[in-house]
This record gives sequence, structure tokens and C-alpha cells, in this order.
Amino acid sequence: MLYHNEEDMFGTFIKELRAKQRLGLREFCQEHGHDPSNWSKIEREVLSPPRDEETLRTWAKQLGLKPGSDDWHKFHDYAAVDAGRIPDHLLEDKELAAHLPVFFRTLSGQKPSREDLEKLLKLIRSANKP
Amino acid sequence: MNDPRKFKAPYNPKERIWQEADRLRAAYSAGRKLPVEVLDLAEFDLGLDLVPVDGLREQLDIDSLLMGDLKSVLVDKRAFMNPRLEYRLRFSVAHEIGHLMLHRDIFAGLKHASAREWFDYISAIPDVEYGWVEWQAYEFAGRLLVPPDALRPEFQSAIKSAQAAGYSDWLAADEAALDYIATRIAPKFGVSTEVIAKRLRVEKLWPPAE
Repeated sequence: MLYHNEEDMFGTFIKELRAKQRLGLREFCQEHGHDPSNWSKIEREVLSPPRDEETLRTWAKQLGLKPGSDDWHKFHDYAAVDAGRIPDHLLEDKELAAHLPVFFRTLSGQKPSREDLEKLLKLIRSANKP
Repeated sequence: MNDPRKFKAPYNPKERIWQEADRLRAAYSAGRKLPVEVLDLAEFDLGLDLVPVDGLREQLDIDSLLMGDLKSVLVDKRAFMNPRLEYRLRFSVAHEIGHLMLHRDIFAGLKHASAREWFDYISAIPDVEYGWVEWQAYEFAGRLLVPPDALRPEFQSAIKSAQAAGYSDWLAADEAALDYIATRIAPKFGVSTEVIAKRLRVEKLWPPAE
């Protein structure tokens, strides 16, 4: 059974379950038909877990949980607590700015232009919004 | 905030970069496999979040990039899910790991208060210093994905194939022969032919001794 402190939620829990099996994000999404961007948002708690019981049961099985096990119950408990919760830790612009990348390799090998940086900022924001 | 116009790339000679790449590869089972399981290394051993993003490549020609919090790597979603782009993605993620291992101190010293400050900072870094930092991560990625101890026997084997195919005057047939050989070696390491050709030169295996 995995143990968590109070700050850890559904996303952290399911990421740990996947990591326990060393099942990469890509492999997991390919195997179970998930969109990797959305799954990543759920793991990073940018998106809330579903409320639908059927979906949750399917996900639990995909993550290797046995019905009735401690982790199965924990999975559902976390989902119930987090479902519909408005993520309160989405990066505010100020915080996002502190986390922006500094070095990146473009195909041309050139330092990005200001226009590139503006485009990049939009993409980064999209990755951090539900 | 430091003055970006005075930004200096850290001094990381090739030998130090190689040492870091070799050490990381040896430390984890994902690194000791061939091809090196670089996505697993990033995700499970270094604890990085891989964050697939639409349009990173299409709009910016970027396959992946390390966020300033050093906890997540944005990856182009199409490259992430498309097996045809696998080699490029692997190299790109290895490159970002290079930034993490070699340039952690730079990131630690930067905390932009706003997007505008971020724009201004990057724009003001001298191109030559920026290019030097990128070169270091590039060299790290090549060494990480192409361990020289594994490259040498693959190279010797490919040389024999090339000789059987009629290549014998290496210098006369330099580019064609190098391409022939690199093409045979590349799948073993999960990298492009260009990366292998570069490694063969950098590791001083090419041109082969007479």
C-alpha cells in the first residue's frame, strides 16, 4: 500500500501506481487509449478525476489494482475527495514565470526569437490549464 | 536578477561532460540497456514529469524542453506518440537531461518575476554563450545514448560489412562509407545516422586506422 501525506491527491497517487510498474506515460496511454496530454494533466492535478464510477473502476484496473485491495479503496477515496475540486494550485502567471525554461534546442539551432518565446508561453500555459 | 548580457556558460570541457553522462548511464538499469531507455530514465529514475504538448514541434521546431523548475520536460505530443519520430525524441529528451545534469546551477539562480522579464532575459543572453550551453547538452546527449564501449564493437562489425560491400579506401569514400556504416549502427542505439556519424568522429573511431 502506498502512503501519502495530506497534500498528495489523486493525481500523485495514480502516477505512483504507474511508476511502481515502470510503465511509461506513453506506453500506458498507448495501451489503454488515453490522450497523453490529458492523462498528464490528471497526474499533475491540473484536471480533476472523473466522478463516473464505471470509468474509475476501469482506470483502477488499468493501473493494476485488485478490487477490494487497500489501494483500490484508496484510489476511490482520493477520487471522491478530488472529483469536482477546482484545482487550487494551478500556476499563477507569476509562479509560471519563475518556472519558464531557459534553454531549448530548435531545429535550426538558433536562439529563439521574441515571437518564438510568445508562442512558447501560450503552449506552456495550455499545458497548465484544465 | 543577474545581468543577462554578462551571462557566461559554465566551463564544462568535453571530458567532464562525458564523465557525467557515463556516470548517469551506469547508475540506473535503464541506462545500462541498449538502446538506453532514456524516457524511463527521465520519468522514473530522475523523477521528471513528461508533459505532452500539442504544437511544440509544429510551431517552434522543438521536440522537448526542460522547465525552469527542473521537475518537468515538455515534449511535443506528436513526436511523443509517433514511432517514426522516436529517435529524435529520444535525443531531445537526453539533451534536456544534459541541461538538468550540467546546468542546474544556472536554473537555480534564475527566478523571473514575469513573462516580460523572461523574454528580456533570454533575448539579452549573448548568442555565443547560449550556443555554448546548448553544445554542452548536445554533447551530453550523444555520449549518454551512444556509450563508447558499445560503439567500438558495433563499429568493427560494420567495418567488416562495409569492406565486404566494396569500401576499402576509407578516405576516398569518406562520406559515403561513413554513412553506410552509421546506418548499420544507428538502430542498435536508437539514434539517427547523423548522431552515430558524429559520435564516430568525436570518439576518434573515424576514419578507421589502416
